[in-house]
Amino acid sequence: MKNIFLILFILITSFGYTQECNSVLSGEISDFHDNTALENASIKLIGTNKITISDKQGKFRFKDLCDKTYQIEVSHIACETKIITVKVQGDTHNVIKLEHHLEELDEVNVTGKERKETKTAQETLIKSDILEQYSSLSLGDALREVPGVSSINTGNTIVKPMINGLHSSRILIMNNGVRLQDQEWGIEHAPNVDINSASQISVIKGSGALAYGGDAIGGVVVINPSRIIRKDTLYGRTIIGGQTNGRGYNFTSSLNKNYESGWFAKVQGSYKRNGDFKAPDYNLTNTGLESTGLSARFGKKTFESGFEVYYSYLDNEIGILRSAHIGNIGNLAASINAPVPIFINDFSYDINEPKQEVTHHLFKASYYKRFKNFGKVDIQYDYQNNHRFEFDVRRGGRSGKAAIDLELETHTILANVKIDNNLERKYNFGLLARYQNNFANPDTGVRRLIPDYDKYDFGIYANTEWAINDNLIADAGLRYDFSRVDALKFYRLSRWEERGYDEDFRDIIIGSVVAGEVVDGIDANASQYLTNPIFDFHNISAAVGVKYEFNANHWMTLGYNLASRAPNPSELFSDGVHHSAARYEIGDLRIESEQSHRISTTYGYITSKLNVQVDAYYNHINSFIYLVPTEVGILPTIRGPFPEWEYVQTQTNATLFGVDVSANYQVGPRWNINHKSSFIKGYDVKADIPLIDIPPFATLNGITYTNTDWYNFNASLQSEWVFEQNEFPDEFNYSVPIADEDDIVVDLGPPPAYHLMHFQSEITLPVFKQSSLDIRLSVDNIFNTNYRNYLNRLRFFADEMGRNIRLQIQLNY
Amino acid sequence: MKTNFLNFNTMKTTKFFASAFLGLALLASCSDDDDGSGTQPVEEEEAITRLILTFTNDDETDTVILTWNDANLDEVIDAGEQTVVGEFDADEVYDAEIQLFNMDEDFLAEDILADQAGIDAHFFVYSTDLDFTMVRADDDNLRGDGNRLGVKTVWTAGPNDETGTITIQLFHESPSVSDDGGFGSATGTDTDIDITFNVEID
Repeated sequence: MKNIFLILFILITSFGYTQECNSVLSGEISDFHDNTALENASIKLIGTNKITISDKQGKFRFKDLCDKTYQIEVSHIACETKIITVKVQGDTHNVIKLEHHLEELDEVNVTGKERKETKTAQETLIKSDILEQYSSLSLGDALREVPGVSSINTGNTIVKPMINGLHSSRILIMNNGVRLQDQEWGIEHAPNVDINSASQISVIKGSGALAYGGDAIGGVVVINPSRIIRKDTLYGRTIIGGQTNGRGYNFTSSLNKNYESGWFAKVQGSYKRNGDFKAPDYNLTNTGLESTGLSARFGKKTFESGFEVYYSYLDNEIGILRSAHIGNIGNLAASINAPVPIFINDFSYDINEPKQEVTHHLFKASYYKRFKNFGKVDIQYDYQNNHRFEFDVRRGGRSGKAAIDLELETHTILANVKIDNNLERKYNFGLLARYQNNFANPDTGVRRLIPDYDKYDFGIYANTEWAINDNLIADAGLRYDFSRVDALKFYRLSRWEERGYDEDFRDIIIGSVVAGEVVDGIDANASQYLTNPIFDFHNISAAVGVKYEFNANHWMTLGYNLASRAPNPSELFSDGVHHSAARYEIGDLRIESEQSHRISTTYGYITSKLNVQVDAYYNHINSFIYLVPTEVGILPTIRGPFPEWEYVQTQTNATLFGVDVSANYQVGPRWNINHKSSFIKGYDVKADIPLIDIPPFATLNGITYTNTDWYNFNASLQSEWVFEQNEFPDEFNYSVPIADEDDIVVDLGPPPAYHLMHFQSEITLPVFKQSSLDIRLSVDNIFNTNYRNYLNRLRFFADEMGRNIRLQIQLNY
Repeated sequence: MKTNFLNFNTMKTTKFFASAFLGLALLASCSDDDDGSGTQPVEEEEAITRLILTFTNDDETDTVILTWNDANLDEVIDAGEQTVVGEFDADEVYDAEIQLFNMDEDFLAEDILADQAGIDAHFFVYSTDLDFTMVRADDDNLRGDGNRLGVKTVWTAGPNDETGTITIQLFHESPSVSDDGGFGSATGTDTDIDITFNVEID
């Protein structure tokens, strides 16, 4: 009996098994973005010994499968291996998409391959190994690595990048995909970016990268954090540094956690502090800096979709050279003629007035999704809060109270659609909406330099990239931007009438100040008018470029950019004293957008030993906006004689043109020589005078010794030679008549040429498994040379910093 | 046969784009959350809108008053804003006192003389091309460094008739000052006041 049951059981179960395991799973493997069939893909049923290869049509087939859920591993050369879950019920067909063009779509990090933002623009990358050398310095300092990029400085710590002679609102800075909105119009407002949060920086000369904005008449700086690695890993970096000049010290650390699933997280923090810097012969009193930075990001990144949440915080307290606070033009003349600054105190870490305190918060949330046989869609929202306090030497013991208190809040949302299913012809479309609010706190007790305003921006753009053949790439783009500025601005009657606004802008008066109170409309007893200027700007920008590779060694680009920039709040509304410049600065409500036509060409030659790149450009700017002395000239104020400068637009044009050269030659296995130089000229065509603040010719030449057998030791010696700017608008100098005394002559002209030598060395020691220790020693201005920099706005008051020895220890883990 | 297509899903894409553009529209319609602060005029706390230097001779029979009144509040010394009432008599001794105002507020009393720190941060310097001698009055405010501030001064006119100027400077946070010779001298580049009047000794 027992045997009968056993036989029955075996028969039943055997019958059942053979009943359910005759299903067929068939499928097709195709490319995700253009749907072409992928031949020779390997398809493996996980947990079985079944494996097959796709045919020419990308098809595959498994027989004799049971009805259940299987996991399939699909792999193909140059594709990311994919594991998918398939439920088999009878005969089942599945279409499986792999991405065969990860490199072309810029989705994988190929070691050593450059991640450029553009195809045909004049673009230079600064990679992480170079950025690490600038850990204790600023973004503006690091950008000077790029030929043609200089900086306009206010002392040693406020360093604003200048691309081919243009800066501030003419340069657009992108920080992890977010356009920096930090009162960048101010020449004394340094970019609020912690250099330690960047992994790579691209400098794009001109406005070729239209997706970032159409107003980058000078160029675009794109700061990117580290790329996401899709594997289970935990890694980080800590840098500790110190320097002799200013007795500065800095610390930065970052930690990354990544998962193969695509999840990632990163946290990074920095702290930097220095006291008074020292020129070769004296202390630069009140030039200290304290900076705290923090950034964090997390998200998930896969090929098909992903998101990122990012936050960064930066707090800077920056001392301004005490001797740079000027009462009047006579004081400025005295400072220029004085052999040493008026205020020289013992070294101190204290930061007193005049000083700046700026905090910047940046929040970003972004999401992207790829669609099969189509492309990629990105959406992003970002918020920035920039709060700027400027403390001045104020009358009546008010120095502890900020003289300027501006809070700028910016909300931006943008969407971008990239159609890349045809790698030979890619398209990109996008639109952007931005709302900005500026709040000028009236509790400062100082008349607002910049008024309260709301600003609305809307932009739409399209560009295409066309790989015409293996050697020729072309791209083109078009962008439209609308901006509306809606401000509330008080004008003193004297200023209102002096500017002729009583005739041209009478309709924007909404109130009058009578006995300290605002009353509606125009009042005969008004001391000030409250106005509501609302200005709309419509701007078109465009770019077209080609890149041709003659062969493996020679290549060339040619490009044309049209950029249009609406005037910034300073150019429209400024009305106040600028103490370190010893002048009144007056904006003009009549200023319109300026337009730049930039033609550029680059020639590149690259071999295993020699790398040469020559960038040439001609930038023709219609209605160029700049600051010039007014016809009134010197105003007799209660503080003493004070010059008045105003923002004007050249009635015809300004032109800037120049050449930037970089070359690198590998002399032998261990010796390398490098060269960089930049030549630029800039003119106001109508006035037939040179533009002010144009960088003089500069050349940097160096030699580097590298020995990988000595723990990757390298040492370099660099020569920096900056010529005297021999073209200066002498019309900007003053001769101030003083009763019964000789005239005061104020010569704002350029300082003499200078030559500096710098040294840097580095060694990498293995310390633990998968960890290394980099030790860097640098000496800037080896010979402690006295010099003044034409592009430092405090050059009238003191020499530049003297010798500085920097030691930096970096642990990679 | 059952087919699982993972292809472009038109419905999903439409929703995706619709959401994105809705978001953009929402942002574009952000309303102004202005709290009205932009319509509040700034009360200028440290402006000097009026300066008066009054000279009175010993028997109070002669006064000379130098005045600057910033009628349009632009800090500029415009034509008509400076007045000189009276002439100095030759060989006459005058007590002089300076006054500073910010609108109706006594700037000198509230912003400079209110505490010792304010006194120590400031210093008046006078100069003239006329035949005057000058000392700082005994009841003038004393700075922490032993120099007198220069609010109250005593001037003695020379014997000759002449015309010329008197210049008043107020230095702020000067590295060094000296009241030697009465008129005073200061280093530094930060002047709160620098104004010159045309005067006459008759």
